[in-house]
Formats: sequence, C-alpha cells, structure tokens
Amino acid sequence: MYVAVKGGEKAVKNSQRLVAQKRRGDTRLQKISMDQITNQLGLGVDRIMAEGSLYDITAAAMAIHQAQGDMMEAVFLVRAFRTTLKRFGNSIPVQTTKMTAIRRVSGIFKDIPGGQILGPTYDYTHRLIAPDPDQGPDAGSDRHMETDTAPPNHAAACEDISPLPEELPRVIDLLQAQGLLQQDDIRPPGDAAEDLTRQPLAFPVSRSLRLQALARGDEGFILGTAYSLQRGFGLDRHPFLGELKVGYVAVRYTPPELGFDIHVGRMKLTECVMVNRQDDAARKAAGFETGYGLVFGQNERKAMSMSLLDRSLAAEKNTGKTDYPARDPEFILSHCDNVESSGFVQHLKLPHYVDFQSELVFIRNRRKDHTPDKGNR
Amino acid sequence: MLADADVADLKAGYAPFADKISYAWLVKPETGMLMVQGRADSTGAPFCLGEMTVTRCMVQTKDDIQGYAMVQGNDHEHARLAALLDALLQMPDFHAELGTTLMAVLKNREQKRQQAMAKEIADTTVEFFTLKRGE
Repeated sequence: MYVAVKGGEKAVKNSQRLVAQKRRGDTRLQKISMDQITNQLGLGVDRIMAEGSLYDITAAAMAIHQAQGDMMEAVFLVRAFRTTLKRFGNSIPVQTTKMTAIRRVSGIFKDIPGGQILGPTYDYTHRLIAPDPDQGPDAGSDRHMETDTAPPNHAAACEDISPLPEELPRVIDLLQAQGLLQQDDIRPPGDAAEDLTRQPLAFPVSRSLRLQALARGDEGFILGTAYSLQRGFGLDRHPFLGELKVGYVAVRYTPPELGFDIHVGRMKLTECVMVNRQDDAARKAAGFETGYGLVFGQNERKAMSMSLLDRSLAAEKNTGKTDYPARDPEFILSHCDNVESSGFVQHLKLPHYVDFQSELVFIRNRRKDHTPDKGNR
Repeated sequence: MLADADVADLKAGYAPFADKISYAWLVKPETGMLMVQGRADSTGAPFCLGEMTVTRCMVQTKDDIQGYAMVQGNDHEHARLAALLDALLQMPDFHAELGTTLMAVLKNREQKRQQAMAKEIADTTVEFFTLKRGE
C-alpha cells in the first residue's frame, strides 16, 4: 500500500534543477546538438526507436539527450511522447522482400542469390579503442581502424555499378523450394493484426502479439534469454542464421480521404530468419523450422535474439508450463518490456513507510512470542 | 516522392507558384502516428511492429483541386508544401512546368542516393569460399 506523503516540494524542485545541471555538464563545453546525436550516435537512436516503439529519429535523439544517454530513461520518454500523439491508422504491411538491403548475410549458404553484403558492421573491427583523431599527433594513424575522416574508396567509382536490385530472393525460399520447411503459421495473410497497445497481453498469445512484444522488448532481456536457449535451457540443437538483412523499406498507407495507397516515408529495419532442425516424431518428416525477427533500425543482436525466441515460444503455445524460462511465453512476454520492468522495480523508491511499519510490528510481535521467559534468571 | 524530398527542395520548387494559387485548409497540418505493420516470416500474417511519427494535411485550391500529404516526422512545413505541390501536380498547366523543375531535381537526387547506396553495397559484397582441409 502506498500512502501519500506531503512536503518536499522545494527539495523536489531543487533536485530537478540539479539534474538539469548535471545533464548540461561543464558549461565551458559546447552543448551536443540533435543533429550530432542522430548522425554520430545512430545505433543508439535506433535502439531508442525500437524499444520506444516509435520510429521518430528526432524524438529519439531528444530523448537520449534529455536522459543523459540513459537508454531506458530515453525509451520511457519516447513511450510517453507516443501517448500524446493521435494514431491516424495502420500502414500497409511493409514489404521486407523489397527492402533495399545495405547489409545481408546468411550463415547457412555461402552462395546466396544476390550475394552476401557485409555493409556497415562492427563484426570485422578489432574492438580496439581508437585514439581520438582530434587529439594528439599520432591520432588517426591506427592501422587497424578506418579513421573517421577516411575518404570513401573510389577505386570502383568509374566502373559500372550494378543498380540496386528490386528484390533479393529470400534465403528460406531455397529451403522452401526443396520442401524442407515446416509451416506452422498458416493464418491467411490478410488478417488484421492484433495490437498490444490496444489490448492486454492474454495467454495463450497469438504470434502477431508475440512478435510485437518482442519487437519493442528490451534488447538485454531478449538477448540474455535467447542466450539461455543456446546454452541448453530450452534448445537442444544448434540454431542457424538463415538470413540477416538490414536496409530500408518504404512505408505505405491508404488514407481514407484518398482511397488509394501513398508512399509516406522510408524506414530502416533489421530482419532475421533463424533456422532450427526439427525431427519431432509427432510431425510428418524431419525438416527445418524458422523463427522470425524484425526490429526498427539496425540492431542485429536483437533481431537475431528475437527470432530465436519467436521459435522457442511457438513450441509451447499449447502446452502451458515448461521447464525453461525462454520457452515460456508468459515469462518472456510479460517481462521483456523495459518500461514496465523498470517501473515496477523502481517503484520501490516510493514511500513504503506504512507497509514497512506493519512488517516491523509483525516481526516484533513474533519475537515477543518466541522470547523465552526471562523471569527465571 | 514529395514525401521523401528535402524541405529545401520543395520550398524552392514551390516558390515560383506561391502567388499563383490560393488555397484553403481542409485539414490543417497535424502530427500523429501510423502503426507500421510487418509480416511474420516477411510474407505471412501481419503484425504490429511499432508506430512512426507522421504529419498530414490537406489543402483545397480555388479550382476545387485537393492536395493531400502525409510525410514522415513532425515537420508541418514539409506537409504543407507536399500537399500544395500535390495539388499543383494535378493541374495540367503546372504539371508540365513542375516536371522539368522540381520533379526533375527530386528524380535526380533520388537517383544519386540510389547510386551512392549501390556503390556502398557493391564495395562490401563478398564471395565467401570454404577451404578444404589438408591443402
């Protein structure tokens, strides 16, 4: 039970002033601009948009700034902001098959139609902290790192560059063509999607709600629980990366005023398909089953973890309790939202004076009952 | 195309027509959201991925031509210009002229953007090969 407490207005005001001061830091230094954040901290912005569940680069940058770089606080700010906006409608589902991919790799086939596109990735960097090119004479000379100012490689500039492909063939289509995929999601594609922000999460939960919850879930939680699967807490086989793509898709919408669909904008997404072998005797034949991940921005770690969980949670949809957390839809989906989690954990900071008093009274009474009679001494 | 364009380009493209048309708002610029949907396994059942901030507006010119715009983000000016240009593009008189000015600029920019991206992609496309053991 919470009990309202009064007082402290002045201290609260001062605390707010103090946090603003701390956020600003040393005033001799320049303030960070929003453009600097969107340009130079792009992956942070991506994460805020994904977990804030709102694709809005400006709002995400402002939130990072206002939260002093505290990602979860920034996510909270974005979530709060989205509640102030009116929803105009639902987009037409984005066509990730027509994504302009800036990165696309597969861990199962080396020769995929369209090729493996490494794109911008930290996978091949040395993870050495490079000296700041703005500081010191040796700056920027680290041979392992491309410096920030490295000119783009113009070697191929004069050659003909093949235009962007309209559509990259999906890697799982290769498996599908050979009849090796188990299809367990055969809902007609036309179905209107359920929406977690308009209905409570009730179990058993549909796949569309599961995907939505995971897409806006906390990266750390999703990564950690996916890792638990890989370590044997719910998955007894090695999963494989079917395809991982990062790129831009067009967002289209049909305004009721017009009656035809229009292009509204472009968004960066990361899409992942994981492939697991399954040779369950209950099923017809051995084959592969897939898990799917799709998140705002470039976040491969999260898209991969999401697809592992999508698969593991599908397995338990009818069976209820399970031995492993990462196979339990209720465990994962009810706890993956970091705004909810952090709210409940952090509410412990609120006054619980009366609750605690009752605990004290209880313990004192217990002790009194159990104290041996001191009269004999 | 108008939705993806730089506001500066739209401003420049619209400027010559600014005093040639008068318009009224049907829907004033307002910022809201679209729920962006994806599809499970990229082609399956739709699911809600998350929202996107958009700004929309609708104008009507004196000749009863309606222009509509919905653009990404919260830039009201972007939406206004896009809606006005949408209306202008529906008028044959202006359509031809805009085709050679603004639309050509936008087409050019989009082409350049695509080329730059194609180059980035070409530069990092690899062919992996597997090594045989013992060789």
